[in-house]
Parts: sequence; C-alpha cells; structure tokens
Amino acid sequence: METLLRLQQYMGARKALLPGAVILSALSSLMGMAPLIFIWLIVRELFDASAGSSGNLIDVYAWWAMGTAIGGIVIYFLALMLSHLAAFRAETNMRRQAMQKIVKFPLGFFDNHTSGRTRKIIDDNAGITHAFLAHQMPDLAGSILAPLVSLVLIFVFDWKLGLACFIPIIAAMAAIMRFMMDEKGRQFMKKYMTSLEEMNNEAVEYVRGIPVVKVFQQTVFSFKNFYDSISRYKDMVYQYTLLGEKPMSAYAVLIQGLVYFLIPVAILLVARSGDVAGVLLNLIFYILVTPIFASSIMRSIYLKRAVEQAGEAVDRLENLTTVASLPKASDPKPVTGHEIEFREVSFSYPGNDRKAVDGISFTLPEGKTYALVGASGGGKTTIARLVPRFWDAGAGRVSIGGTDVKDIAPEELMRNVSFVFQNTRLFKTSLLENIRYGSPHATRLAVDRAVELAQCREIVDKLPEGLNTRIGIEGTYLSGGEQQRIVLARAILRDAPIVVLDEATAFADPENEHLIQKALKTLARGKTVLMIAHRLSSVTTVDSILVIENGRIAEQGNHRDLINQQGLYANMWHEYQKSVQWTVGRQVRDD
Amino acid sequence: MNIKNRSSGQSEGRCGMIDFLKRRFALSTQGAKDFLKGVLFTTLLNIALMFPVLLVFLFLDDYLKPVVIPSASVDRGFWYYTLLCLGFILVTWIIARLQYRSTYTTIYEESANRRISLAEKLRRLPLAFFGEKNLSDLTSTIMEDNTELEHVFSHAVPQLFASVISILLMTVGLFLYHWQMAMSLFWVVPTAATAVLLSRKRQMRNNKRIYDTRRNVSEQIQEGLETIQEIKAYNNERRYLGELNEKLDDYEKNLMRGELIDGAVISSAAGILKLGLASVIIVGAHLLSTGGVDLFSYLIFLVIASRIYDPLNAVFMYLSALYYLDIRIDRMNEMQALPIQGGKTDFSPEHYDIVFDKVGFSYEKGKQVMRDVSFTARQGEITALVGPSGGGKSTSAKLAARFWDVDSGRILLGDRDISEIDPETLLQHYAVVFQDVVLFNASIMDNIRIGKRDATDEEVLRVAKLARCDEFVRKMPAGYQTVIGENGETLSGGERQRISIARALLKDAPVVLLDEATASLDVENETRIQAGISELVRGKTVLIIAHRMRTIANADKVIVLENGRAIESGKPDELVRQKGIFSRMLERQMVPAKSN
Repeated sequence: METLLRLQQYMGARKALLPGAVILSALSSLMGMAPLIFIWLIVRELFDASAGSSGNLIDVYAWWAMGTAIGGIVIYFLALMLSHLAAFRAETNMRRQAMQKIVKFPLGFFDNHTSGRTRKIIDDNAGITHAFLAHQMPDLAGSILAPLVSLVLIFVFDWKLGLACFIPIIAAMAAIMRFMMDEKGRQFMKKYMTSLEEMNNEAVEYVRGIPVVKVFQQTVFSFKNFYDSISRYKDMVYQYTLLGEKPMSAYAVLIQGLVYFLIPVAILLVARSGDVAGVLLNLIFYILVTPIFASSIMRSIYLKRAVEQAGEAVDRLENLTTVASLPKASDPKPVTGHEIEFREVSFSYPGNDRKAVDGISFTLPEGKTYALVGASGGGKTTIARLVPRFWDAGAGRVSIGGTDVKDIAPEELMRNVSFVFQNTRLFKTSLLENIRYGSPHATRLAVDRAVELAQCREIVDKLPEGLNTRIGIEGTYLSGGEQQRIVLARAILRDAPIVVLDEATAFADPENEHLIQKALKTLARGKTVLMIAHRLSSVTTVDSILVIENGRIAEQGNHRDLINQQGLYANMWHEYQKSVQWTVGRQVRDD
Repeated sequence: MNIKNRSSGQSEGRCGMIDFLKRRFALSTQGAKDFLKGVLFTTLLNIALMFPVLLVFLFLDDYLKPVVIPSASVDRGFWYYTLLCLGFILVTWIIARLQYRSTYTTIYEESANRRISLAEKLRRLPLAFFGEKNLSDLTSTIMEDNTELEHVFSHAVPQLFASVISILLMTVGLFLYHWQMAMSLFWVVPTAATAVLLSRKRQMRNNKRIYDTRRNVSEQIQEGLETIQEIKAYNNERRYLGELNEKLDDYEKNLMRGELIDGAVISSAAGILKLGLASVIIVGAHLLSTGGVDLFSYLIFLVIASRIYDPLNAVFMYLSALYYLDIRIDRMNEMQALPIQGGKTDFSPEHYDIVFDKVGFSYEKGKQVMRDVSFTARQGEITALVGPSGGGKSTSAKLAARFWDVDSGRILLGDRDISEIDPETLLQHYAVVFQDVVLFNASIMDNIRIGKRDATDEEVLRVAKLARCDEFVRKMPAGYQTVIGENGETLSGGERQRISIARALLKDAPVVLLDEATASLDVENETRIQAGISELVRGKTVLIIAHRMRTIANADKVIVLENGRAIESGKPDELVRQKGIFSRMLERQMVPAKSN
C-alpha cells in the first residue's frame, strides 16, 4: 500500500485512472465468470428437456454466454488502457523528476557517480515499476474477487460438494505458500539473488581482466573466480528449484484435479438422495467453475513479489536523488569585483574524515594569474573546484569580489566563472552549437574569432561540413586534444572575467598539446585566473605559485623567489629538469 | 565423449531435430536432448491434466443413463471411481514431478555450461577487442540474456511445444469423435491466429518505434549526466530539461499507441476465440434436436468449450515470449560466431627481431589504418614510433603483439610469422606497458605477482622497489597485503602505472612494448616512473609509442607514421638533418623544455 502511494505521486493527474482500472478489471473478471453460469443454465435446460420440458432457451443463453465473454474482454481491455496510461506516466515522470533533481546537485556529486551507472539506476528502476502498475495492480482485484465469488457460489450451491473442493484448494494453497513465503524459501530466494548478482559482477571483472590474463598467461587467476561464481549460482538455483519440486507438483495435481475429489462425493450423494439428475447438475456446475481457482491463486501469489520489486525500485531511485542540493542564497548578491579570496577554508569529502583542504587562505587579485602545483592528491583540484561551487567549503569562506560565493545566485556565479576541467565533453550536435552552447546569441563573426583563438581552424576545415558538422554521429569523432580545443573555444566565446582551469591535457599528442597551450593562453589573457598546473614549464611566468601539500599551502611566491627559497618547489623544479632530460634507454642519474 | 557416442546411435531424423534445436536456441547437444525430454514430460503432464476430463467423460457416460432412460441403472459404484481417482492422482503426481525436474532443473546445468563456454570464447578473441569501452556493458547484457533464457526455457518454451502437441492431439481426437461439433468448436482458432499474424507487421513496426524513442530518452539522460558540468556552467538546465521532456513525451505517446495496438489485437483474438463458445452451443443444440448428437457428447463438448480457450490463449502468450527471445538468441549466436585466434603452441625463437613486412590493416572496411608499412625493430635496440595521433603508432604496437591480425603483409618475430603462433604462447615473450592498466580486486602483492605466477615475495619486492611502488605501498594500511578494490579504484593514475611497470619488470620478457605517455604523468610521478622504465628496457627488443620527441633522442631508430604510412625512418640525428616531419615536431616541442 505504501509502495502504491509513493508510486502514485509520480502519476500526476492520472493517478485517478488507477482505481478506475481496478474497478473495470474486477467487473471484467466477474463477467468472465458469467459464460460459465450460462453454460450451466444450458445444461439445466438440457436436463429439463430430457425430462420433458422444451429447451428453447438454449439459444438465448448461448448468445448471453458469448456476449458476456466478449463484454468481459472489452472491459478488461479498457481497464488495461487506463492502467497503462497511469503506469506509463509514472514511468516517464520518474525519469523526469530524477533528472530535474540531478541537475540541481552540486557538481562534485558526479565525481564518484559515473554517468553510465547513474543512468542505469534511473532507467532500469523506472522501468521495473511497469509490470506492477500496468498489469498486476488491476489484475489483483480480479484475482481476489473471482475466487471469492466462486467460493461463495460453491458453498451456496451444495455445501457438501463445496467442501469436497474447498479442502484440496486450501491444501494446494498451503503447499505453495509454504514454498514461497516460508522463511527457508525466502532465505533461499535472497541467497539466490545474491549469487546471481555476484556472478554478474564476476563476469564483468573477468572480461575486464582478460587482457592481463592473456598477456601474463594467468588463465586461472580470474577465470577461477568467475567459474566458481557460475558453479555457485548453479548450485544455488538448483537447490532452490528442488525445494519447489514437491509443493509445486502437489499444487498442480490438487488444483487441476478437483474433479477427483468431487466425483466420489457426488456418488455418495446420489446413493443417499437417489436424485441423479439433481446431483449431476450441481456437479457440472463445479466442474465448470472450479478451474478459476487455478489461474487466480497463482497470480495473487506473484503479486507480492511484484510489490516488493516495485517498492525497491522506488527506493533505489529515490536514494540516488536524495542528495542535498547546495543551499540557495535567500538574498542573492551580485558579483561586484573579480578578486578571489580564500579565508581559512577547510573541506573534506562526504564520508571521508581526512581534510582535503585544510585551513587555506590566499587572495588572488583581479587580473592576476595564480598557479596551484603539488603532488596529485594534495588538494589542488579540490581548491580550484570550490570557486565554482562544485562543493561548498566546510569551514571558512570563499569569496569573489568580497561576496561569499554562497551568497551569489548560481546563475550569476556561473556567468562570471568559466571553468575548464579535464572531463569536459562535447554534445552530440553540430560544432557550431557546441561552441555557441554558452552564448546562444553570439554572432557568426564572434564564433569565427573564438575558433581562431582556440586554434580550432584546422579542425573545422578538415570536417566535411565545417562548423555545421555534427559530432559523435556517423563516425565523425574528434580526438581528445581536438575536443579540448573546441571546449576552449566555447569558453573563449563566453568571455567570463574569472577563469578556473586545469592545465592537464590528458595525453594529447605533441601537436595538440602545443595548440592547447596556445588556446589556454588566449583564454587567460586579461582575466583573473586560477590554474591547476601539471608541468612546471608553464608556471614560470605566473604572478604567484601556491605549492599545495596535504591540503595546505606549503610555499607561496613567484618562480624566482621559490627557487631561491630552496624548499619544496625548488626540489620539484630540480626533479622536473631531470625528467625532461630523460631519454629511453639511458639511465637517469641521481647525482 | 559419452554424449557423442549416444547421439550417433540415434536415427537421422532425431539428429536433425537436435541440430535444429541447437542452432535455433543456442543449445549444446546435451541441452537440446534435455530440452526434448522437457517437452516430452510437459506433453505427458498436459495429457495427465486432461485425466479429469476423461474421468468426467466416463462418469457422465455411466451416470447419465438413468437421467435419459429412467429405468436404467449405473454400472459402477463408489469404490470403482474412488480407486480410479486415486490412480489418476498418483500418476499425475509422478508425471508432475518428472516434468518439474526435466524443465526446471536441467536448464540450469545447460545455462552454466553456456556461461562457461561464452567465457572461454571471450578469452580467445583478439586482444584488441577488449580495448573497446562498452565491453563490460556487452558482458552484462550477455549475462542477463543467459538469465532470461534460463527463465523462458524453464517457464515458456517447453510449455509452448507441449501445448501445441497436446492441443493438436486433442483436436484430432475430437474431430474423430464428432467432426461437426469439433468443427463448431475449433473454427475460431485459425481465424484468431490469422488476425494475430496479420497485425504482426504493424506491431513490429511499432515496437521498433518504441525501442527508438526509448533509446532517445536513455541517450538524453546519459548525455545530460556526461555533460552536466557544461549544462550547469552555462546555466542551461532549463533548456536541457525541456529537451528531455520532449523526448519523454514522444516516448510515452509511442508506448501508449503500441499498447493500444497490442491490446486491441490480443483482445480481438481472445474475442474471436469466445465466438466459438456460442457456435458450439448453438450448433450442438440444433444437432441435438435433429438427433445429430446425443446429450452425453453435447455435454462433453460444453465442458471442453469452457476449458479449451485458456490453454489456447496461453499458446499465444508463450509465442510472444519466444519472439522476444529471438533478439537474445541472435546476440548469443553472434558472439559464438566471432572469429577467434589460434595457432601453434611451440615457439622458441633464436632471436627477437620484429619485422613488419608490407603490413596493411583496417578496423573497419574502407578505413585503412595502416598501408604497406615495413620496418624492422632489432633485438637490443629501441625503436620509437612517432607521428600525429591517428597516424598508426598504437595500432602498430598492438599488431606486433597480435592484438589483431593483419589484413595484408605479415609480421615476424624471430623469423616466424606471428599469425601462426597461439596468442598466449606468443605473449609469453612480450612485456606490455600501455596506458590502460587493469588491476584486480586483490592485494598489491598479488597484483604485481601477475607478472610471474611463481615469483617469490622477495622477487616481487625487488621489482616493486625498482618501479618505485614501494614508496606509496608502504603508506598503505596493510602495505603489500592491502586489497585495492575493484579495478584498483583507490589508486592514482601514477600509482597504477608503477604497478604495471613492476609487473612487466617481474615478467622480464625479451620484447617490450611501451607507451611513452605512461612515463609522463605529473611532475611528481614522472621521474620515478622513468627510472623503472629505464630498467625495463635494458637489452630488450623495445617498441615504444612516443609522444615527446626529446624522450627518444637516444633511440636507435625512429619510425615516423602518418596516415598509416611509414614516411620517415632512421636514427634521430639523421632525421633531424633530413628536416622532415620529425625535425619539425622536435622543434615545436623543444620550446617549453628549456631549462634555466
């Protein structure tokens, strides 16, 4: 019930359709029983006819039987249409609302939530609810109502015959319940699901490992794990199914064999009353009506599992999307200057005690370029990301032009800060659209200038349709370095006064790297720039270098000062000089 | 072996049937046999489940006599029927259990074997196949396919075959018993089937449309997640959500239309079937009044009419499950049909020169990646591959280790054509250090030991020190015994590379394939990795994919690849003097590397 209520929230106005579907479905299941009653009435006519009266009602009953049967089908069709309207809406709204929430998340969220896995969670779980809402929900009414009505009927007609089929029905239900609801069975079910999941994970791990396995002839190493998980799964599922052999067989025999219990009782009844025709007539009624139990009991038992599955799907989806969005300023302030200031800023990642940024203070004056250098994992990237609010600082204050970034409206902040980090992507649309993405009203002239400045001219020229070529479709792909330049063109066109950038050019080839460096220089010209530097060659001319170690600023100053200090930076520079002189095949000498 | 012997004893027809099943449902020989057994027992069970009708038949035949002719009396009494009932129950019970075992349990054995055989298959695919990024997606799809197959094969397919067989048997029986009545009962079946078949094309078209719009939605979500930085950076949330809404609406509309069509078709088929109910009653009543049928037969047909349509509907349902299965079976057969690499396992060359002899290669038809490339990489020398990206550097290195097979020309290692050598045997002689390092969810010790299975702890520690792993491993909670999580998620790029170099050092193979980008991460890691690499390449046949020209200034030979052709080759200083592409690339890169 709780699951249903939660799902209803996703249906919007269409949630009113679901009760309609349930009622129609119940109605149709009753109408589905009607033909059986009419057939029985015909049989009664026949019996009466052989006793002398006329049988002219038979044709009328025949049409009624067919009419109710077809009516039942039509109503069921309508019920399904209603339930589908509601279910499809729920399904699409789940996706819609998930994405509405997700675009509001802090950008840092996406660091440890890969796009593929997140998409799967949204897509798959939204889809899982379908079976329950569209089919099992409306069927539920029918599969409870039909057997109930039949149960009443069989007792009303003749309680002795009624008892004769009621007992095996109860026995059959008990058998199947024991199998499906029993603690042992449920434990098994859980273990079975776990081993299935385990096997699927091992499969992925196995395939990922094949290159290593081949290169190092370690066939057994990962294959064994996978093989074991397959065997475990097989044993598990085998045992689980074996557990069902007796109850399921007993169920089939009992529920399909109600006649075996009815006939001996009928014979006894005939012997006692002597009214053969009366007993036979009743018996035929039971023979006609009792098959209803077989289909509906099974259905209502599967329902429980469907509810659980749907509930879990909503849970998983909502778990994903209950991340707190960054607090929005109640009284947003405009950006008045472009000086960036960190004052006593500390930050640790959620679920991690270690401080990634530990009490950092510095001021980056407007129009200057500062570089962050230091070992990977030291906190450079985290510091840079606090400026465009990938996360909010845990303690201290990050401000732009004297205003705390938390007090600036998100749109305003984004308008003022351009950031270029490593994992930027292109959209699957034309090159022009990609470059204009941030400034939809830019003129063609401005776009051309940005293309030029970002060193993208030769990329555009080599594409079949120039700027109008669509990227990522039909084999038009750009290399990593080329993509990076397009992203830079986008940022140059945007022309925001503050630029936060990661200089790393992944592993671009030399040609690209050279061009990217040029484009970066253009982008930074005249701006307030905070740069994450990986190659020391590019920091020798910046206004100030912050050497970051373990989340703190270890040294600060320009290149010359830091070299003279003979500290960390000077050491790094020394190392760097060695590394650029290294060649393959010649030993690096430490002295 | 056992399986083979048994099947050869069977008749031709049976073998043909098994072959057909194997192909049609991606089954093994044993699987096909088990499947037939399942069908047999399910048919038997279906027949057993008709015992109640048979019993009613006998009972009515007996007890109707006094109703029709008041003076007549019944032949058999309580004990006869009770014993008969008990007998039927017992037989049904036995058959039900046999059927359960034959359909619900053997399938898992088959499924496990299929999973293992797919795993074996995957292992024998060309190595480069595994560079493609959605491979883990493919794997999980295949695993899901298997689970789905398991389910359908235990719950639908044997039932489908058995239902068709038993319904056919019953139809024939009823026609023999009373053809007019049978006719009035069964005329609706071909009519309904025709209706279903006629609408199939439309349904398929619609399914395709649903599939397409659904994929649009998924792609839109995926793209949104991938480009979230851009969306937010440029304040485009509303625009993105607007696009998503359009796609979702489109998808929903198509879903509903599909449901409307499907529902209409299924309902009309079911409706047509119910027409049979009326026809059998009316025709029967007419025949009864003209003496064409007796009361007993009429009653029997009425009982059958009330029960027959559910199994018929079930057949339609099973059929649609089968259609649905086709895509999965195709995918599986496709996988099994991929070409695998084989070759001789005896290979002990006298030297380790690599020779490219007019090598041509393309990943896709029409997109030639390498054309007529010839060069020799000598043992004990360093041969560097340089050139713009997409020029063929990485492809050459991968071809040298038979990650793919060449399309034309040949590659020799120690004078033997490598396409004739089993890939795993061949790779025993290679150490490969590329950028994509695969780590296992095991201890660091074990991850390094992959380089040489029987290496002692001391040996592992030695290479770990050489590759500069020691420094970061010592900081870890359990040192070398630290388990590093799925694909070593906890390690940085530089740390991963160092482990990969340690592995290669431990392996100590005579041929080294190296991507130089590996040696150029960030400032801190660079020199450390370089030291390990210097150790690794000493005295080996080295093929290096170079990105930084200065790194290979001391290489013995440089091959410049552009557009899949080797356009320059020679010693670095010779190439510099030639003033060709190499010297231009070198100049461009020397600029930022000036020291103070």
